[in-house]
Order: sequence, then C-alpha cells, then structure tokens
Amino acid sequence: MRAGLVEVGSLVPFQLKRWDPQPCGEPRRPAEPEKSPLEFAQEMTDREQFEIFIPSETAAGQAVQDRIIQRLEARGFTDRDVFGIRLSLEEALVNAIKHGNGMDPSKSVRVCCQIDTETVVVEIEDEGDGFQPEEVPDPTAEENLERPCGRGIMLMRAFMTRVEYSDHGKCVTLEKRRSVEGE
Amino acid sequence: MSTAQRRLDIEEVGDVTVARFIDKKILDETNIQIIGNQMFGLVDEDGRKRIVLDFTNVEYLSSAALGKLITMDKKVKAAKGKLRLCCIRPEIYEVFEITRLNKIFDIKKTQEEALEGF
Repeated sequence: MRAGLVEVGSLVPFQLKRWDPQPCGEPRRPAEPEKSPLEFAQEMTDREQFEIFIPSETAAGQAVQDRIIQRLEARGFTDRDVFGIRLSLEEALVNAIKHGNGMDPSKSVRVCCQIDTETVVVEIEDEGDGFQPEEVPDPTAEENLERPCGRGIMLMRAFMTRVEYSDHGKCVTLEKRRSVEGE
Repeated sequence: MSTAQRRLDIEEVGDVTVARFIDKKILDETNIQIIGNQMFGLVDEDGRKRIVLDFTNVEYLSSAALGKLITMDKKVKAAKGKLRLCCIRPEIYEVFEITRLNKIFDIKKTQEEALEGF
C-alpha cells in the first residue's frame, strides 16, 4: 500500500502540469472533501492516462482509437458508449489529421487520454491553423442536407457528454461519462 | 480498381442490384474512398439504376461515409434510378437520425421490404 501511495503521489505533479480537462478561464472544481485520502488514492490507481504524438496518417489514428477502445471495453463501458466514443474519436482524429494538419508528414497530432472508472477524456491537438467551430454550417439545415460534408462535429456533440474546442479550434476535448447498463 | 479488394457483395434480384457492404467498419479515409468508388461504379460503370444497399455487416460508419452515401444518392437520382438502404442496425440508424439523413434516404428495415414494389 505504501509503495502504491508513493507511486500515486508521483503522478500528481504530472497531471497538474500536463493535464487540465477543464476549459480555460473557468474556476477549478473545488476539492471534494468527503473523500478520505485512502479513497482518493484508490481512485487515482483506477485512473490511467497516456499521451502520444502520432503522425498525420489515418492509419495511426485508427491504431490509437483501437488502443483507447480496448481499454474502455476492458473497463466494461456499455456497447452504446463504446460505439459513440469510437465514432467521435474517428471524427476528431480525421479532422485533426486531414483538415488540421492537411496530412502533412512533418506535422503530428497529440493525443492525450485519461480514463477512470466513470469517465474518459481525450484531448486531440493538431498543428494546423485552427478554425471557428461555430462557423461550420449546420448540416441538418434544409439547404445543407445534401452536402456531403460537415457532419463530424455534430456527431461528436450528439454522442459525447462534452465537446470543447480550444486554442482557436486546434485542440478538441472529448469527454464521455459512462452510462449505466439499461439507461 | 479491378485489382482492389472487393468491398461490396453484389447480388441480382430480378432487375434490382443488392449491394451488401462487406466491411464491419466504414471508417478511415482510404477505406471509404475505395468503398465509395466501388459503389459509384455500380452506377457510373455498370449503368445499374435500381440499387439496394444492404448494411447487415456494418457496425460503424463515419461522417465521411455518410458523404459518400449522399453522393451515391445524387448519382442514382441523376441517372433517374432508385436507391434504397436496408438492414441498418439501431446505433447506425441513430447516426442517420442525428444528421437528419433519414429524411433523404429511402430506408427499409429488411431486404425483403427494400425489394418490395421497387
């Protein structure tokens, strides 16, 4: 247990520095005092995270998708959750690789993923020029229904609990809180 | 294209062509491009006009794949043909509903229904 605590402690500075799942400018969530240090430590050990840089190739996007999905399946996320998360990851990764980085082999995409018992949060950041998400035309508007593009962001918003763009559209944060079976 | 791996199972039922997607996941740009070209070939190269797309095997479908389906629908309409979709599982149907594409496509539950009154 002692060793476990030491290990957990060593994770904290990394998370504070490298991981901020909350949008910029919003107050930090207050600490949850009802959790004992032991409970907190146990929760931390249930948490896993990784950060990788992938080349601007869709095959690399597929590989990282598979890696995340495998972890979610192992943790018993429902089939419906897994479906929505995979679809959202696909859309976000294709956007970053194709539209953000323009498939440029000299550019990479940063993927940071954090999974715990309740939630998965994935941050996907490209090296492109960014874009204004609110300027993407509504694909469900009558005049756009037959246009073959522009549906990715809409699908992400439908399937994820939270979708947020930051850094002028270069970074997207996808968050999904797990559903309870039968919901 | 002829050397590329076949991505659609083609069956003729009367004068209707039933094209069943072989892939479970219609994701990934390259994949979608190949599937799209084989689908378009049914109209552009083979001159088929009555087509049913069967989604029995499809577990995942991205927005890029939806784009190909929209283009396919336009091609068939331009050729004065008819396109129907069938056997779409509930999660995938939800994708059509969210994007309101269920309003554009003629979607039937089963292949029998899709072939009825074509």
